[in-house]
Amino acid sequence: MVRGREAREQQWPGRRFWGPILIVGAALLLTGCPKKPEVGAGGPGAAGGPGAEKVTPAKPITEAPVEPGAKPTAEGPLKDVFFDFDKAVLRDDTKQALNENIQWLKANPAARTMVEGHCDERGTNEYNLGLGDRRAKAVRDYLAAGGVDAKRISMISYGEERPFVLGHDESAWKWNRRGHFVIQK
Amino acid sequence: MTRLARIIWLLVLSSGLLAVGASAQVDITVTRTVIQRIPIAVVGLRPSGVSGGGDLVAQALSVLVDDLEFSTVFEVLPASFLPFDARQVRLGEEEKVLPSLNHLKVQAMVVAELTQQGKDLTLEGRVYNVSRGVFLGGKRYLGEVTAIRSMVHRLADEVVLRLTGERGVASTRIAYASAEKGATELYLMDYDGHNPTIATGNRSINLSPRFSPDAKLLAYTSYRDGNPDLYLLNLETGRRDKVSASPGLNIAPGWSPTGQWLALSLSKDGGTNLYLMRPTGGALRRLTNGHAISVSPSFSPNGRQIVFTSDRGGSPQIYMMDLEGANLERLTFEGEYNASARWSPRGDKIAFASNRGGGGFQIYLMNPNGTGVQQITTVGVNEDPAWSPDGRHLVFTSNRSGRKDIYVMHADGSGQKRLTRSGSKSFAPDWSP
Amino acid sequence: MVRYFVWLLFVGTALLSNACMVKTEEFQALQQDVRSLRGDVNAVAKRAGGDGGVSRSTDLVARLEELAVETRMVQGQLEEANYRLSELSKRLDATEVKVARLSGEAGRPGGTSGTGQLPAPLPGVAPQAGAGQPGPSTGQPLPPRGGTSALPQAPTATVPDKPVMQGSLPSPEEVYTKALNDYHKGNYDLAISGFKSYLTFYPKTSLVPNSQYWLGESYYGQRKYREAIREFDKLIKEYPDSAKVPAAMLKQGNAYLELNEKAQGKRVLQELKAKFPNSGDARRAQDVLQGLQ
Repeated sequence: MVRGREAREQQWPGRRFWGPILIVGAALLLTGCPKKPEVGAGGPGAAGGPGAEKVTPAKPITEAPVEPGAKPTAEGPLKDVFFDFDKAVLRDDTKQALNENIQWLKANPAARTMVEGHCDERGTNEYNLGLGDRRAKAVRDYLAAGGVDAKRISMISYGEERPFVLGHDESAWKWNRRGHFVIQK
Repeated sequence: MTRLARIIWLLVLSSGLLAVGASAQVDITVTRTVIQRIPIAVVGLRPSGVSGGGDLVAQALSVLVDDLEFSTVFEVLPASFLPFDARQVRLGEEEKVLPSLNHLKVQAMVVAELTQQGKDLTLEGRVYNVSRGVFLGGKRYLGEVTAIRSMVHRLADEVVLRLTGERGVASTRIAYASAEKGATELYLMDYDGHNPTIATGNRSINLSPRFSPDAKLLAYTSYRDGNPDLYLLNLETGRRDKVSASPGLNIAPGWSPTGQWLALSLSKDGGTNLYLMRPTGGALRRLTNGHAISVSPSFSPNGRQIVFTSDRGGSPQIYMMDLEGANLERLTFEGEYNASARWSPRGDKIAFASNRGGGGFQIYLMNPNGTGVQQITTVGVNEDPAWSPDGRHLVFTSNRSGRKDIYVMHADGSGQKRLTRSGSKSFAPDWSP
Repeated sequence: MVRYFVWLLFVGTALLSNACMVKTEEFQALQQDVRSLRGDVNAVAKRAGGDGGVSRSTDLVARLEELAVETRMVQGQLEEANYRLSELSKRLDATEVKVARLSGEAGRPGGTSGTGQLPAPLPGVAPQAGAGQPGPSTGQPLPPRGGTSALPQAPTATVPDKPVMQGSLPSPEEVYTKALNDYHKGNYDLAISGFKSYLTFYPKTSLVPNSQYWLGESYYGQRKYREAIREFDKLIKEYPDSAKVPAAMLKQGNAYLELNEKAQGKRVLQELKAKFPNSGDARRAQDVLQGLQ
C-alpha cells in the first residue's frame, strides 16, 4: 500500500543522515528540472521507505522535464513546497520554506502571488483537483497567519494536470505534489 | 469443407444450449452469467451494387458484423458456414434462403444491399425471424460515401431494436480528454473509436466531459479563462455557455436522468463540496458541508440518489446520498481508494475504480447497497468507468499499452478493446445516450 | 434451546447497535467542535498576524490541517465500525433464519422467530430460479419485447448468483437488495411490495428499520406524500435508535411541505434540528427552513 509506505517515510529515522546524500542525488536527478536542488534539501518526501533507494543516480532517469503550460520563472523568489501523498499537511521543510516566503512577501509589499496546488498522477483526476485546492488553501492560510495580507494571495488547483516531472514512480511523484508560487505582476 | 464446418457450427450451437439448460438446474456457487447470443446470418451486400468495386461493400460488411457482434446480442454466422453464397443473395429474393438457415438453427437474418450513384449511397436492410419465417422490418438509408460508417451503424441499431425491442448503441459517441503538448482538449469519437473530432481547442485544460441525457449538451470543466469553470457545449449548434464560475473549482458535473439538474463540486466554501444547480445556471443548492473533498457525482436512474467520492472518512471512498443531501451512506469499505462511481442506466449495478487489490486501480461492479462486488478488469491499471446507454458495455481508461488510452468492454469484463491510438494520453471517457 | 440461542443473538445485536448510535452522535458533536475551532483559530491567527505572535499563529494554522486529517480518520474508523456491526447483524439474521427453519418454527410469519416458509410466493420476490434474481444483468440481451421481435424463445439464460432452493424463501438480504434495486430503478410499486414483504416476513431482522425507511422513500418517489409521512412516522416512533431517523424526519418535513402543510413541516424540521443538532440532515433542514422565509 502506497499509504503505508508514506507513513513510514515520515518516521524515517535516518533522514538527517541521508540528507546530504539526498541533496546530491536530487541534484543529479533534477538537472534540467524547473527547480534547483535546494528544494530537495531536507525534503523528506525523498527519504526513507522501500522506494527511497531509487533516489540514487543508479537508476537512469529518462523522464524529460515537462513544460508546464504557464511557465513559471525557474528562479522565482518564492520557494515551492512539497506534500506527502493524499495530504495537505505542512511538513517541517514546507513550513521552513513558507517562513522564508513570508519574509520575502513582507519585504516586497507590492508583490502579489498565485499559489498553485498540484498533485501526483495517482488517484482520480477529479479527486486530485480537490486535493490540489486543499493544498493551495493550506499554503494560503499559513501565509495569511504569518501576516501576509490574504488579498495579495490568489489560489488555483491544477490537480494532476500539470506535472513538473514526468514519470510513474516516487522519484517523479514527490516533485509533483507541490504548492507552486507564481508572482503576479 | 463446408459440410464439416456446418457440422461444427451445429455442435457449437447445441453444446451451448446444453450448457445453459444444465446450469439452470445445477447448483453453481460462482457468480457467472451464461450469455446465449442469437445466431444471425448476414447476407446480401453484393459487391456488384457499387461502382467503385467492392471496397465500400467490404467496409460496410465489416462494420455491420462488428456492430452486431459487439452488441453481445448476436453471434454472426461466418459466411463460409452457409450452404449458399451469402454475398450473392439479392434484395427481394432473400426469403428463399430462410429454410436452409432454419435448418442450421440460425434464428435471425439480416439482408442488406448497398448501391452507389456518384457520391451518394443507398443502404437498405431487412430483418427476419428465421425460425418463424417472418419479416420483422426494414429501413433504407441515404447518404454520402463519407457517411458509410454511420449509415451502417444506424442499420445495426435497427437490427438490435427489431430483435430485442431495445435500440443498439452503434450510433452513439464517446467523449474523452486527451493531453498533448501542454494542453488537454476534449474529443468526440464514434463508439468504435472512429472519426475522432476535437470539441474544445482552446489550448488550456479541459476535463470531465458529461453528455446530457438528450445527448445535445456536453458539460465539462475548462481553464480557458484561467479558473476551472463549468461550461455547456451545445453539440448541435456549437454554442458554449459558462454556467458556473464560482471562485475556485467548478468541476466534475453529473446530470440527473431527466436533465433538470446538474450536480457539481465547488470549492468556494472550505472544502470541495457537492452542489445541485439548474443547467441554465440557477437555483444553486448545497448538498455536502465541511472540509472534505466530495467529487464525481452520478445519479440513480430514478433521479433520487447520488453516488460520489468523498474523503470525509480519511480516504477516498464511495458514498450515496439523496437529492436533499440527506441519508448519507458509505458503500465501500475495502481498499484505501475507491472512486469514480457510475450508476448503470439499468439501475442494478454501480461501476467504480478501486485499488483494493494493490498495484493501482481496477474496475469493479457492486450492487447499489455496496454488496456483491465483482472485479472486471485485471490487465494494467484501469479507471474512469462509464456505462453505455443500454448498460451492456463500459468505456474506461487503461494504461496497459504503456500510456493511458480509452478502451471498451462488455459489462462482464469480456471483449476488452482499445479505441484510441493517437499517441497522446487519453482519459476520462463518457458515453453518449 | 434453539429459542434461547436466537434470543441471545437478538440481545447481542441490539446492544451493539445501541452503542454504535451513541458514538455517532458524540462524534458529530466533536466534528462540530473542530469546525468552530477552525473558525476561531483562523480569526486569532489573523489578529495575531502582526509581529510577535507570527510563528505561534502559523503553527496553529498548520496544526489545523493535521487536526482535520485526524478528524477524518476518526470519522472513517467510526464508519468502518458501524459497517462491521451491520455486517455482523446481517450474518446473525441469516443464522437466525436458518436456526428457525431447522427448529421447525416455519410458517409463522410475524411469530417469535419472524421467519419461515411462505404460504404463497411473495409478489416481486418469487423464488423462481433465475427470474427473481438480481444477478448480473450486464451484457445479456433483453428478452424480445412486444410484437417487434418475437423470437421463439428468450435469447438469454441467466445463472443466478446463488442457487435458490425450490420452495424456500429468499434470504432477508436477497429480498432487501431486490426491493432496493426496484426503488433505484424507479419501479416504486415493486419496491413497495418488496419492502412490505420484508417487513412481514422478517420483522425481527436488522434491516427492518432500513426497509421501513425505504418504504417511505418509495412512496415519496411516487409523490404519495401522505403514505410517505405515515411510513416515516413508523420508523421514527418504533425505531428511534435507527441511524435513518434524522433522514426520515427530514423527508417527513419535506413531505408535509409538498402537501402545503407548512406548520407541520416546520414542526418536524425544527424537531430534527433539536434532536440531532450536529447531523448533516439537520443542516439540510436548516437550509429548507431558511428557504421558507
